[in-house]
Amino acid sequence: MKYSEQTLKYYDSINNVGEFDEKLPNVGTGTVGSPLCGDVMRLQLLFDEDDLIVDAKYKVFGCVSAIASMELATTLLKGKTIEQALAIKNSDVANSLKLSNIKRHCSVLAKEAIEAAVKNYLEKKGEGRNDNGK
Amino acid sequence: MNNVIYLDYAATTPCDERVVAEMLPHFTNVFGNPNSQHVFGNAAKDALDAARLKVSRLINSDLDEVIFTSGATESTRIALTRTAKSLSKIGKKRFLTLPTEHKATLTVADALKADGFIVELLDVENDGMLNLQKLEASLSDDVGLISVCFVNNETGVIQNIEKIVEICHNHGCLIHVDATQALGKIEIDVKALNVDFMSASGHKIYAPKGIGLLFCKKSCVKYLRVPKANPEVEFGIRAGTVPVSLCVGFGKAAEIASAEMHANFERISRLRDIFVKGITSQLEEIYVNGAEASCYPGIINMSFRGCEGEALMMEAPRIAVSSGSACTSNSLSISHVLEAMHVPADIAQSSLRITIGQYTTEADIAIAIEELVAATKKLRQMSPVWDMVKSGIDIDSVFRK
Repeated sequence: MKYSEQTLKYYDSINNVGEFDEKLPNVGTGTVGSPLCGDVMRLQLLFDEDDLIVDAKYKVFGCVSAIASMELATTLLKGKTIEQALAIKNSDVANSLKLSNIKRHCSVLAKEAIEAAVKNYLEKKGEGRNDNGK
Repeated sequence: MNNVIYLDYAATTPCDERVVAEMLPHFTNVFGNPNSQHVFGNAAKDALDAARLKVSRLINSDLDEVIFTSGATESTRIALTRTAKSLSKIGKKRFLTLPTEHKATLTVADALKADGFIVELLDVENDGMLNLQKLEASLSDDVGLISVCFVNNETGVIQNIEKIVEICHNHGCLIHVDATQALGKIEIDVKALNVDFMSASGHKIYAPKGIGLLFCKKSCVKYLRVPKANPEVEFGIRAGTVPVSLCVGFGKAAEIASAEMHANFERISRLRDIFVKGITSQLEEIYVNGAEASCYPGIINMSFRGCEGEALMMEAPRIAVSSGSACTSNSLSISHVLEAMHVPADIAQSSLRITIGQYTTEADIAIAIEELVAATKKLRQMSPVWDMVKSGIDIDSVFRK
């Protein structure tokens, strides 16, 4: 398997692997994929009071392209608002990494992980509000 | 490339220098066409006969039961396609094989199916072995032919060919054996085994690529002959000018294998033990896939739970191995062999095939252990699947939803 220079660049400079405490109210967690298709991705976003993403961490069970996709995605996510985060397209990731057609699903999973993590955060927040309102 | 340790001998092997030395004169001085009626032709014919004799000795066949082909894929295609068609004329339209066969066989099975044959894949046990009772139960009168892999290319699992042949023959069914990973590595005696057809390749036993054998029992030649073929060329079974230099190389490799097989087997068994112990003594949740009790030791299919195969290969750059994971195969599906053995998806995706050959040293194995232990430790730290394993979550149930 030959990887693109861009994929290897992100793979070789992994910075954002890690995790936040899943129970924190300002952390959104999204786990997507399945071992059957080869990749499982877990993305965690850390938000500030203004819903700005201040940090992003991930873990991946998957191939080199999957890891590089998450490394790039987490780099892009830092400092973004929720709207900006959801505006990231899978093609942004795929094109930046020059993923081959067979590996494009890695970028699709990265996009799904962002959506799942944001959804999880918003759900938590919603629940929090309900509690406060009682 | 030179400082990378090759541990992918089941994919292909380098040519033995003794093989190359034997071949060289046949590119230049002894270059004749073995069918020519002059001195050049005669010299080539002599070399071809000598090579055929050496190959036949390795499998204990008669001289005229060895047909040279381009390799096991072609041999398999000839044996299965022609025999199935011949047998269909007498009402035997059912063809059996295993789901764990090499793609070379499964592709032919698909083609036969498209041609109107009834193709059935027999279940294997979780250790990869064919259940002989199930085989017996599947053999109805309309089953003409079965194809079984001797040594599985992904797991090294050795099928009980002797017993399978006996059962098949009792039910009037012919058998083709894919011996690609068995030839020159374990004892093969086609007379004692009583197989009808057998295929193998030269490049798995230190001969060049592009040469292989089709063994065809004398009584079965009638199924393979094509009308109007020249009987002087490979017994009328395979047309085209015979590549004598390649045959000579294959012959030399067969001769070497006959002499050195047992010593190699012992040495490779020892290296396998060192490898498996080296890994399992340092890492937990390691699985060796396939029947331990019936396995060629040179092929090790090992799962490093929590780590994906392709990423493992990337993290172990000093060794060249092969991965059964979806990503590497370009098909995005799990290894069909491990799937047929009901290996859970996350474990199948964590598998590597490490194959040991005649040039592998103990020092190579030590480096392989070091590389794979370090790679596994690193990847587990960043693996959400490993986190689930460690917290006792049943992975299969999580992702079956």
